[in-house]
Amino acid sequence: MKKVMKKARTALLAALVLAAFVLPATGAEERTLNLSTLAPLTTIDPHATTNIQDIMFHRQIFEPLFFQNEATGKYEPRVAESYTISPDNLTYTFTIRKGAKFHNGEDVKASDVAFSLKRAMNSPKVRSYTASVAEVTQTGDYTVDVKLKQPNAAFLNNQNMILILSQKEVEAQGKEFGTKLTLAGTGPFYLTSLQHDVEWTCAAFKDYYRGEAPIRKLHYVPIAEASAGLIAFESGELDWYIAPIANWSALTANPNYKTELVPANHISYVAVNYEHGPLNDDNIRLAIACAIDKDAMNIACYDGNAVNADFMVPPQNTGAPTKGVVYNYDPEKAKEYVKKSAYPNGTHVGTINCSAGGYFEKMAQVLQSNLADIGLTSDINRLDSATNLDMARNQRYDLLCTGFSPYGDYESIRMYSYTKMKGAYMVKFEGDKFDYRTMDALWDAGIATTDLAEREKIYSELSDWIAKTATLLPIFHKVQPYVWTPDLIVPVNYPNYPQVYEWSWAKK
Amino acid sequence: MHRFIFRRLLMMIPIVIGVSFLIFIIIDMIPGDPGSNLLGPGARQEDIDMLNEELGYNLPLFQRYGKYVYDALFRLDLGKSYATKKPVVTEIANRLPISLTVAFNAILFSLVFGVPLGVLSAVKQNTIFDRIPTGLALLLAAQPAFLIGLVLMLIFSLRLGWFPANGVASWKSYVMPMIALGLPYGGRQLRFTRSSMLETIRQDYVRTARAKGAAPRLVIWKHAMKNALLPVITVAGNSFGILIGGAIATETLFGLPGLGSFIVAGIKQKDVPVVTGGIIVFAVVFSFVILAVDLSYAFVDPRIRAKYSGRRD
Repeated sequence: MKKVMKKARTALLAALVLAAFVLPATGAEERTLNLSTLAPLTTIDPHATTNIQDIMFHRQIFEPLFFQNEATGKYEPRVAESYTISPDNLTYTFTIRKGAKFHNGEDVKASDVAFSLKRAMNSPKVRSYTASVAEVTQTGDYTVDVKLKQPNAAFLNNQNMILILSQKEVEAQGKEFGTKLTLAGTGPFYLTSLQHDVEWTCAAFKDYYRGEAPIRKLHYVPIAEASAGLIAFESGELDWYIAPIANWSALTANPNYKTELVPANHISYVAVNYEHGPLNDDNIRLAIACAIDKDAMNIACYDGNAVNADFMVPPQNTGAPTKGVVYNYDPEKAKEYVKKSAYPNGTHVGTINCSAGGYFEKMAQVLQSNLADIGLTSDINRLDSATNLDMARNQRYDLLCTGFSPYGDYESIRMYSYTKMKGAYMVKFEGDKFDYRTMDALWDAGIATTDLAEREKIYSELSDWIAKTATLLPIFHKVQPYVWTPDLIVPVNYPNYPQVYEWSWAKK
Repeated sequence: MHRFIFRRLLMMIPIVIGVSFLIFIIIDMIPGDPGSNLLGPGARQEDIDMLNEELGYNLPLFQRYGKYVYDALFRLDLGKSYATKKPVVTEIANRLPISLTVAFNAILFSLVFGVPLGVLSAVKQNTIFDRIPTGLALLLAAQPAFLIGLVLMLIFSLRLGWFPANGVASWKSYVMPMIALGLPYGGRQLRFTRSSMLETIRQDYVRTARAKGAAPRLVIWKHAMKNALLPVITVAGNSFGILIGGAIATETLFGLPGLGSFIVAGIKQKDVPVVTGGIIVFAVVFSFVILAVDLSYAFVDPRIRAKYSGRRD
């Protein structure tokens, strides 16, 4: 009996010693990464949302065929391993990656890809990305043909927004897909719990074809209030956070945090409704363009940390112009334009609309002050975002301070000016004032041209055409103030969508 | 008593129908449509139209309202959120307990804090025991819950690490919202209790009780307190009702998925089922709270109990 007891004690001791060495290592590996979003998740269905907060999360669990790297603009294979384009540029043939699996363990097949693309084509939320697609055909177990209505140089960019789903999982959940836990993704993480407006968790997908993610568990909470988010970060409840810019100096001075300012893929701009009163006068619009002090707006909105913009899309977008017609702050020149206008003694140019509560209010205040400096008076109308959007769509504004996130290609800004996109454009160019057909033709030529250098040339011309109208005035590209704990290794902070798969914990 | 309760419950039906109709009309008058709000800037008109069609928003207002009322009455279905596609009933069922917990605790805290200090302040009128609490009450009542919440977060989350800054993971998550909401209301309760108590302790029956040699503590807590409590209960009841749907800033600050933030998010997105369903539930809960307040009078004051019992009728 004594021998048995002794053996048991020895075994217990050995187990304890083993546990002492093994368990801490396991614990470190299993450490949960705590993240936040600015709003609750509206849905898990990636085809049912255009909300940037949703997409930031969806990108961790779902993937497109080809992923456009936000930092480099280059395309990287994901669910598809390769593609070919037919000589007439009308058919893309995608070869699906063998070995890519859904979170339910099943292989990704061409049928799932065809299902996903067709589903996206019928979803009001994302079908604009598939507008050029005529037909999707499964041509083999691992090949899919996508036939376009006309050549579309931005097709790869557009498909980057269509995430691939398991047909079986989606159909099993039916109309409830998007509202509950799903294993329909192929991404590096899969959902393990879901309370849309409270918290949701993920675990690393062991069978992920690029290898299991170094960080094994993710925990998300929605925190809408910036100060509350910062306190949550500083008290250790979050490991990585997009901080309020007002706290940037304090955060960068704190040696306990890692920080990085990354220009977002975003443009803040002023739209001018040339159809309204004095704004119809070319000289008045040019005066406004020269009167805007971008530095002052940058300081007011982003403490001077944003990147002043010369063009309507950030340079990392495919086809983005780098030179052309640019308006710089020149109040004297602006005054000269006013003198040359039909209102040499100045005039009231109308109301500046903006959404209430965000930095656009500050933009509007600086704009009002800049205009006053050259003898143009204006009012400011702070509106709730829905009303502001509705008024902008219906051309019920004089001046508008607003912003937009392009998605990787100059083409993504087309909707703001192309005359066939009624309801989407901010400036209605169709009419007698401008030769809008030239602009429309340039948009059509740009999308039909696959040669990148040629596209850049076309978009440069297009950018100049729009700039000369002085109706869409780029101000700055805002920045993402990223802050994270030093034990978290983040190789690249991307402009809009974090790639948590690339992150890891520092070894102690 | 039963007739009184039945009458009040019956009155809720026109209230609910009236509220839902008003909400439908008001939301319809707000510029924009759910399709364009959900799709955001740059969306094509054809996609907006398609989404509105899918959501049933293209139907005429009265047709939409009729369908809503039919579904609500005969199927107990308040529709699905345009944004999340989840049933509004489920969404509310998840959120209402959180709002009720926060509101109940905040009111309880305000009473525990405000009533004893209010009584002390009245009994010791014009002394330091009166001036300090009334000064404190004024200070607290003037502070927005949002500000108090931020200060609490800085102290108890950031410095001391006692309570989480966000979420509803455990009971700890409710402590700071309870104090943030309860303190301003506690300040108000203190002032109400004080003034009500001052009025009551000058009544003849209190003077009589004192003259009969009753102990001062007994006079205050047994004779005066019951009558002084009526306005306090009224204020607490109304505050509770308001807090269920109105603690939006506090819910946002502490990341509490309550009814208030749910309704506000719905308004921003013109999510008609969310706003209508949320406000109907809010109206019903508020009506129940007011009924409970009215009934509680009966327990405090026998004269009112007699009226409810129908003897007055």
